[in-house]
Amino acid sequence: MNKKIITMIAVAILVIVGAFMMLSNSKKESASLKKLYVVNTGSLTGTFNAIQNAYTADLKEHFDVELVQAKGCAKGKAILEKLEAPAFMIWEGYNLVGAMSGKNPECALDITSDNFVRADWKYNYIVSSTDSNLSISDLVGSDRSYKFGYAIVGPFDVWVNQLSKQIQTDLKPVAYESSSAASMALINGEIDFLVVNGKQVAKFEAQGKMSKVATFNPEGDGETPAIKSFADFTGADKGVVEFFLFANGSSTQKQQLIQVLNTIHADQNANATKWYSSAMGFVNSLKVDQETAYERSIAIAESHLE
Amino acid sequence: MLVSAIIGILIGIVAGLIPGFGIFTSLIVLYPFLLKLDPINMLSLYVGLASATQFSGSVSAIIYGVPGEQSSIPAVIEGHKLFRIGQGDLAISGSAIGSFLGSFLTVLFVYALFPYVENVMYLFNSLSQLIILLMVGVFLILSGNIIKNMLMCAFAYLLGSIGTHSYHHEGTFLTFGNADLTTGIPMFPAVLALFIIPQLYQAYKIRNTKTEAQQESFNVSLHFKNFLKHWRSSVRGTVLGFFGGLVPGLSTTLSSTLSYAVEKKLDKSYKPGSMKCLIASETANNSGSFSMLIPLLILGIPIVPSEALLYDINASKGFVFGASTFDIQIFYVVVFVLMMANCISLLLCWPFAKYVAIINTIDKKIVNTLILLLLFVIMIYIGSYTWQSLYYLVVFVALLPITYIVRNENTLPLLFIFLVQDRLETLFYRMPMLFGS
Repeated sequence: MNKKIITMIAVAILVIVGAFMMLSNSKKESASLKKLYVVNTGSLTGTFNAIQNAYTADLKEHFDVELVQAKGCAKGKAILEKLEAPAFMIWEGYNLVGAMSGKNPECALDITSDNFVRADWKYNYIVSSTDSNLSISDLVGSDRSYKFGYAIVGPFDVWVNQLSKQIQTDLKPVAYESSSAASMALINGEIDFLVVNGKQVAKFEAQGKMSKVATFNPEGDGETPAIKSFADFTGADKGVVEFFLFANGSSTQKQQLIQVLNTIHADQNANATKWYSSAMGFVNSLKVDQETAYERSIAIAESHLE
Repeated sequence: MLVSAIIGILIGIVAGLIPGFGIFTSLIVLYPFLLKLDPINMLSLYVGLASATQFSGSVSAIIYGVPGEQSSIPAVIEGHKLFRIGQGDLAISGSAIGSFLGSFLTVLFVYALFPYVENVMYLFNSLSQLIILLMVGVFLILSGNIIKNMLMCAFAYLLGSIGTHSYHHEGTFLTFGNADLTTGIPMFPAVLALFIIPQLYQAYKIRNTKTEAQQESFNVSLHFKNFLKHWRSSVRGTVLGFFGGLVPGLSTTLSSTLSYAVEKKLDKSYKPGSMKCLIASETANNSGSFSMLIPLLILGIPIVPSEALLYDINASKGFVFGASTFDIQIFYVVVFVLMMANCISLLLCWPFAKYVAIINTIDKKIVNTLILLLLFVIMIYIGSYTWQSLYYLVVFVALLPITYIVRNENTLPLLFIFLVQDRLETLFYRMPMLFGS
């Protein structure tokens, strides 16, 4: 008798717990977005951290937000699997290429139209220091040999070698651990040219330390010519892409997040808007429809495989 | 500005006393508050925090044998031994006066050379950075049993290499497909296992001497006389600390270690518990805490993680540090806050010297157990920032056999190479690109 009662109680507990879990799960699926993890998969000192910190501050006005520092893509991916609440994560476009080419399998992550929220399309620049006064005419078809710096994120060594062949100038690729370190090397005369993101260009151009020589943007940038105008090789007209992904939530919650992001980017006083306004060459994919944005972003990322 | 500076100084004093907390973690904790500050207030808070941390970090290092900041590591080696032989009060006052002098001389130096300060940065290219790092490494290897030190350095380099390659960010070393290992061996458990525990063990074996009784009366002139005996070390520390502070990524850690290594080499009668080495390194890290601001303020280049965070918060608010925004007013703000931080820290930290004798009378077993427990909790807490508490714990336990092997050694060479491994690797790889045919 006692055994029967115990069994019945155990079954009742199991049913109640099971029902509760099912209900809570279905509630999670249909509920509006409340708790949100913002995951930084970059270093603590780089651009990714700055962007995710700015977003965290802005998103706090809409959700219960917690910033998670993953210190790298592999750990970011692992954290994503551990998190039980929805997460908003920044993801380097080169990770896709690294994973596909087998160079960086730890960072293989499926980017689909379901988890895609938005992207930044970036057009980098070739720059020289104002002290050296090197211009496009010094770069193209020169007898001189130049040290050409780049920051390690991305296959820019291959790119510099392609450029060197095209313009018939001896360019020696020199890698730096970050765009800040590379910019400093350009300013102190260690390298002659540098390929760097628009954030660094905006900062040092304003200080009169750096001059734009050419841009990846195929349409050029004001008086700055497009690289495509003097060198024709794969990647001369391609930017780079940074993905923003959504995980562990429903499509309704993703749409809710996109709406909030649209509000943030429309607000001139938002931290994220201020950050982007102090950079150059960043294009926000929220300006076009989701499907087009996704397809273009994947195309840019995969183009670096060529 | 004044309120922000005072808040920064007070938080800095507390952060320096909590081992491993440091400037960066303090800023992360303060992040929501920082977003509300304007650039000048934020800078005031940061300068106050960074300077006060250097002061109180040495108090933590001397009394508990635990470095509050990485730059206080030499203070653990020399200061905690002085503490154990009953000269803790002189060690704290010597460090405090040296730190004050170091900051003051650096401010004068920068002010005098203000128009030329920017040019100093041009000296710090990849080659000069590599030479400085190797020079410090060689000094440290030569400062004891060369074979043992070289073995420790090799182990440290191997340990630092674990994770994603720092140079090209593609491919990993000894990670066995583990996501945590791709982020490398975390600093805190490694420092705890390979440096702090051996230091506490060595300090534990030192017997307290009779000088402890003399500390009951607090004699100000005695403390100044003690410092004046070593003023040359302090001046050398100021100069070396200034240049060390300018080296990206290392800054005050290099300032104090370089100054310590040079002073140890110059001291023919060196023995553990050297007041000269302590004063030199403590002066150097305060000198470096000022010079490290120069690249940020003048060139807009953050050279340590905490500066990068400060830079980005300001950039997101529309203010970019650099030549276009730098003016003499900002320099005056920095100098004012720095000197205020030095005065307040001196007033608050020095009196600790009066009470060190009391701490010294407590059973060392109890003190060491409490310290280790506290550090253990902090380690788990810091690990939780990146969801790696368990990983931190595993790394700590895995390193314990090495702790046992090196328990009687000076593990500073090991620690230094571990901390700079990333930087060394990138510099080694870059040299052929810069100078190869």
